[in-house]
Amino acid sequence: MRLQATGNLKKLISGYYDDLKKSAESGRPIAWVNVGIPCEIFYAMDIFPFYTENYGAMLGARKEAVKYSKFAEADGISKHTCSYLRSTYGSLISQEGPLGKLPEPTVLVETSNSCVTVLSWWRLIEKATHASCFLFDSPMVEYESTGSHLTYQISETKRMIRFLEAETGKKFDLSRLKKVVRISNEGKRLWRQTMELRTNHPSPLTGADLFTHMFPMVALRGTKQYLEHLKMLYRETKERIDLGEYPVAKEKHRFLWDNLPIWHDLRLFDELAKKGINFVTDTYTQAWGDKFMGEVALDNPIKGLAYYTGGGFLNVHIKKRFSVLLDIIDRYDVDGVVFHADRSCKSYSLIQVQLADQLRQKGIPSVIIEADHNDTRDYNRENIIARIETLAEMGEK
Amino acid sequence: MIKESEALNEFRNIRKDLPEYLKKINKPVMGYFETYVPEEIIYAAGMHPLRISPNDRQIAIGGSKIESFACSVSINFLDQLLNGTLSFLKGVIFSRYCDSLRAIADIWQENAGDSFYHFIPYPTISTKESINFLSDELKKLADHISDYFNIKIDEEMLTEAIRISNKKRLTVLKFYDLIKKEKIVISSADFFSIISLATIMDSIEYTQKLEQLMKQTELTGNRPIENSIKVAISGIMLESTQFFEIVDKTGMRMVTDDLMFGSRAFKELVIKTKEGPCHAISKRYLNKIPCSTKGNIDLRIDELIKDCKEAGVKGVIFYLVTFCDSEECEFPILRKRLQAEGIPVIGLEGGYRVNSEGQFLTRLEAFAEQIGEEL
Ligand code: SF4
Ligand code: SF4
Repeated sequence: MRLQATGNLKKLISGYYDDLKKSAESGRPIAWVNVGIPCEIFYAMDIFPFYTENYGAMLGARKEAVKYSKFAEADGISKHTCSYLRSTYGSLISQEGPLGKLPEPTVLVETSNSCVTVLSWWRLIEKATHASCFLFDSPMVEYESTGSHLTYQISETKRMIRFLEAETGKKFDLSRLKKVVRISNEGKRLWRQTMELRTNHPSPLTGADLFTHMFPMVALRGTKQYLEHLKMLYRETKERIDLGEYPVAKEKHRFLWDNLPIWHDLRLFDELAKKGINFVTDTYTQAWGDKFMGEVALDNPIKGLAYYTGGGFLNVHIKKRFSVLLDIIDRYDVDGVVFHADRSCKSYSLIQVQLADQLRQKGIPSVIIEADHNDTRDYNRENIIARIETLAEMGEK
Repeated sequence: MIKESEALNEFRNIRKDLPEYLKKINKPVMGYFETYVPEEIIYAAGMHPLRISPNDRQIAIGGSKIESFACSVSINFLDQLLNGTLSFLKGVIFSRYCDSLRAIADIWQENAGDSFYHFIPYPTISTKESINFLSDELKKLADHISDYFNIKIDEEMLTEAIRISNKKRLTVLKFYDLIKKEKIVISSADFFSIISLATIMDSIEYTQKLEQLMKQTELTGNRPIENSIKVAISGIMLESTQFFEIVDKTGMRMVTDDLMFGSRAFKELVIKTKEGPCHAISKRYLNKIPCSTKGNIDLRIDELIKDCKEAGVKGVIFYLVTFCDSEECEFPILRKRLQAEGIPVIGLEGGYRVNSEGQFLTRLEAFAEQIGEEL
């Protein structure tokens, strides 16, 4: 049985991109941002936040990433760099893509809280668009942003607001931000509750389900449509449990997926589900969960947003990554971990061998498979399936 | 021809056998990997700050501990950490320099046991707030070293360390200047050896030797190496003597550079601020000519172009380490800017050491021929 929310998601996505176009037509400011940037501030200031990673994921899911990457590669960008960077930059400079020519940004806003690569990505966009750019600086933290780090993140948030005011002419209003954050919080709660439902045996969702429904969490936090969607998703997921209707009824293996999904092959999860292998949790969607993007106190939303920007999933050190892994392995009753070594994302991937070693010492089996979240070249599906099946067989023994 | 100076020979020998030199250092050694970790703090603690460079050995254990798409420099670093090559270090200090080194920091943290490990949460921008933030972090680093080794680091020691580092920087910059003005003419391989050692050797000893070298060569009144074509070498972590020897073989000569441990590492001095030495150090490191990993491309390129013009360079050789995302993205921008200035550029790609001399030689010979004709 299909989730109605999946149909609604299509509407949400096309609505988001319609808004982008309408903003360009009406003169509403458009900010190109990357995922670490809190969109609540932008909605509160009536600035459209265009998330480049979302656009990249869309190109990936449509299997068009390589087509646009080639424009970037022809411009001299190496095939080894992040495929989000290549595909979106290629689409930008070729003025081609599913949306046609991308609307011009009024401003660019980037943050260093996910990787160093993003800084290069933004330089390329800056050169191509000539828009003024703001870098939200976010040094790494061990576990969370506290003390002088939090003070710095708060000052960065305020500096960003001043930049947005100066460049777009829009005024920041704290009471509006509080309204947006209230909605954002409610949605975060529903997201967390939906994720928790996956602890059920069998899980009411497959790996692909939650990856697909991440879109509003990334790009629409604080909007009405986001809240409606998350309510629908939660209700339907709960219904599945109440009615005993599960996507993988004979769930023989409860696996965990680490890293971005392979956007161009979300069907991989369906294929594995047929064999009784379900991905009941993952670290990627947890990045929008309460450990990395929890609810924000309404009395001081700037501080709360700054706290989560500073302690974003890719901005913490290995000890926290490992503790989160252990926690969700336990809570979701996971019996095997699949580490997707994503060639594009060094920031996420390069500690996976170490994490796998540490899991092994605790008797938790895992496998590392290599792919790319967007780039279909060198993708070896058979090999990946075989390796995941071997992990499953190990568990059976 | 250059008259061989004693100091030059000493630099060559040290570079040739680094492990031997390191054995003789009679201070506890603290390692780091890039030129954003402030050597002043380590020096003030009475320790020897050592910038670890890729060694020539084939990667072994490190390769099985990290994905193959990490850059080979970082895998070499991991290899050295895990296989015991660096066991003489009293500790290691990291910062988030790039996505690969950040991973090495995490992996090492889990394998370092009780040995000293510190990660500096580094800002990317230079603002009043970021300078204050880093200044606090540097104080934390100093406190960590003090507590761990039971050493006192006070303002006076930091001020003295700053003085020594600044003196070294000024001496290195004078050396660059003499090369630019052709008062000193030196092969690319020798130039590389001398410069790369500035962040490896003891600062006082290094400064003295370099001063000595400059005196001697100034006195000999060198002539430009006949028919040599002046070039700049750009990149980030190119630390293979062999590569610079290949450049020499083609009749080109490096007269300035834009390498992470090269000119960019010396250009700014630490200037006293009323907030104290850590603040002054913080300011210097956040204001220095940035690496591509810091996201401010234009400053670096402007500086490179300025240096090229001052040194009368005929072309730029850019060396890219495969899988170094920041350089892979920066190179196309850099190439366009240089071409717009009428400066020919060649891009070469490889690992932490030269695996195929023939291929580089052929391409560099063709480049030398091209820019030689334009003379
Ligand atoms: S390298 Fe990773 S974190 Fe950075 S932009 Fe690409 S996918 Fe995102
Ligand atoms: S070569 Fe590039 S990717 Fe490799 S360690 Fe150096 S900066 Fe990092």
